[in-house]
Amino acid sequence: MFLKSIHIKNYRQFENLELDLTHPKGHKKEGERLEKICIIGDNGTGKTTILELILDYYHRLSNSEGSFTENGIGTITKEGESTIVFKNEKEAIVFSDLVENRFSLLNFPTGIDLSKLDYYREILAVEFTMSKIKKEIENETTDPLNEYFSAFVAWQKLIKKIDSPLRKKVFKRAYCRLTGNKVYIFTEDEAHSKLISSEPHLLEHFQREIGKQVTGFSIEIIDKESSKFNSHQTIVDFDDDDTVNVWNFLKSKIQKSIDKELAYRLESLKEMKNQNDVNELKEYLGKIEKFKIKTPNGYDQLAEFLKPVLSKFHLELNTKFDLEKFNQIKFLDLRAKDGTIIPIERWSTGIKQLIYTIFPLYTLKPDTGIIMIDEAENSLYPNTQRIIIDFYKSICPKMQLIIATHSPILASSFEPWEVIELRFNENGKVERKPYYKGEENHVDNYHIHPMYLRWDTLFEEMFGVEGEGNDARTKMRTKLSILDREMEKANGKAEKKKLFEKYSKVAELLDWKTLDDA
Amino acid sequence: MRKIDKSILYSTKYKNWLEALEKNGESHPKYESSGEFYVDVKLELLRCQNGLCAYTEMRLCDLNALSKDKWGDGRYKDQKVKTAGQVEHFNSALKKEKGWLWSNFFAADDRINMYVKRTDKVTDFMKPDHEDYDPKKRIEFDSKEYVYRASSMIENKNEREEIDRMIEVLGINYPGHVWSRRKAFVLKLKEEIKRGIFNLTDYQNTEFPTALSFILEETNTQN
Repeated sequence: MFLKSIHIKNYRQFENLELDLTHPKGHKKEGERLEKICIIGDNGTGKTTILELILDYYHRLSNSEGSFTENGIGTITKEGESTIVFKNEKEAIVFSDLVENRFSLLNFPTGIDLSKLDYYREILAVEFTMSKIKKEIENETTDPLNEYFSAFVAWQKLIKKIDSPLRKKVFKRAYCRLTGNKVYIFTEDEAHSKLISSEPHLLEHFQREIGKQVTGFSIEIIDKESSKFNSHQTIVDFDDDDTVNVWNFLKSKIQKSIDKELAYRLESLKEMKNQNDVNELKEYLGKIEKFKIKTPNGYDQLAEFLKPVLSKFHLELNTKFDLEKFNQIKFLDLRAKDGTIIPIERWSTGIKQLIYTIFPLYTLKPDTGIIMIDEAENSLYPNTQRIIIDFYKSICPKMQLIIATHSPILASSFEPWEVIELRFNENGKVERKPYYKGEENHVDNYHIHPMYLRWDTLFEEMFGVEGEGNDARTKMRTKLSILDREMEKANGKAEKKKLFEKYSKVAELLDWKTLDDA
Repeated sequence: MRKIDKSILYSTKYKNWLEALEKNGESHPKYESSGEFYVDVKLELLRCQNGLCAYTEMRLCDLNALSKDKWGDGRYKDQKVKTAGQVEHFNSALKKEKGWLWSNFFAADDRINMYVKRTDKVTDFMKPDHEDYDPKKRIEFDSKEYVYRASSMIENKNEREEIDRMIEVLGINYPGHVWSRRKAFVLKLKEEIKRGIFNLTDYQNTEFPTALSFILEETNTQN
């Protein structure tokens, strides 16, 4: 699910706000959706409101209160006559809403691309894990991951058993998911549903396979053209606890790799004739090293991935731990340069902000949908802000990233057509400030380009902060000018030199190198 | 800050009303922006100032709103017109007793009027319509710092300091929007001159005409 346009009419401070979220004319991606969007504007202009409307829209869709038309247009009506129209490309969607410190993941079976089944399997696995882990906490049940995979694996086993090429094709193009005590089988269309329904013996076999581990569930076959299919969407919210749950998901995967490594180590040790022999020991260590390269455990990869961001905080992921005690790790452990372990309780708000957004995205690796982050600069030092947008995009390059920010540094990571600057008009309503001159939204007509501006002019051009710096700076420049004049009027070298000392001091305070642009 | 001519008034109703007050020695009604002649005064000032702030020379209104046909029957026709800027009392000490005195009025940028000028003591020879005021004699433009200062031609140091003070009082070098916009204007202008593509007709009715005049003089540009 990607957004291509939003039209908000008569809603709060918006009278008639039309946001085109596609590349402008003359761009090589003309008319295609924007990959990243930055919303800026004064307090009260509705940056967060727009993010909330999008979130609300998808919540409504997921609760069957909304729908798409054939051309991907969805509408919600709020507060009387207000109408918000969204134009979409159908895919899956991921939200990060830091206002509420929540991370939401929303899966849309509608328009599912079966070639991306692995991706959906991952998403659904996490989704299922999340709900199951919650239940596990409540009901003390066990191992939800196995339950999910039992449905998936059972379906794959079933496909292998089918002899008829036609049936095999139909079963292959369907996918299944287990939610609660129900297995949903999603098919291409009504004909496929009918064909699958007409094979009770295969379905019974499938049921038996799952039943080895899970009992008391029923099967429902749904084709994507039916309304039921459209309405079957699930939302999972990630908060502090759920981020830890994502960790549990990753941990279970890493644990499997570690178990393999431990088994390999044991096996290799057994093969050694004399464990005290230096040459044999060297050979053993070499084999272990090769094994690790060949089958990385995921944790080292995560550490490598987080390195550029964590290094900004003089931290790194702690990778030095006893493999056998890996399952005792409660969450990511960070390590300071002096080797001190920094547990989650001692993380700074900036670190939390980053890990809570980056880590789930890295783990889930969604390759389609929307990430929304409000006040994306929160608690981040300017140097970290400089890299964070590129970093988010590097995790999920195909996702549509929508942020709201008050930071010129973040805004400087965007192309001008990717920036939505909101401002109040004379009537007190909010409109978008155009960054292009003339009637046509064409790349050549843009006269503000965030990436090309200096930090101070970014403030000026895009955030309405006028001047080179504090007002005192201009007053000081006036003082410099007056000293310059007095030097010209000075009688003799001694007086001139005395004045120049004053001039130099003022120029130093103003920073000499910024004074040469005349 | 160029010299301003306020001798002709189209708003004759205001003019007659004011003259009658003066003639009869009557005190002025309280000055308020809701006053009967406020719009007439403001638009009349803007017309005299070519739509620019009297001090900063930033544009406050479009010239279309200032053509002669916008006045009729001694008044500005559209009494609901909206423009930027405010009516400013040059000598604030006169505001209480002579709140509607034409000679004490200028149209100024909102922020200059509200935050800069206020009630500071003023010197008459720096009044833009004063008979002795001549920008070329009083001030000069430093195109390196983009600020005005007292003219280096003035030998008396006290006079230079007083003019420097008045420049500050009138917000002529006001930080932020004034200084920044003027700097951008000057940089573009100098670039055009440097490349030999400057055309004076492009600068008719421009903002910052005094800075323009100083820069042209500095670069000896003939056009």
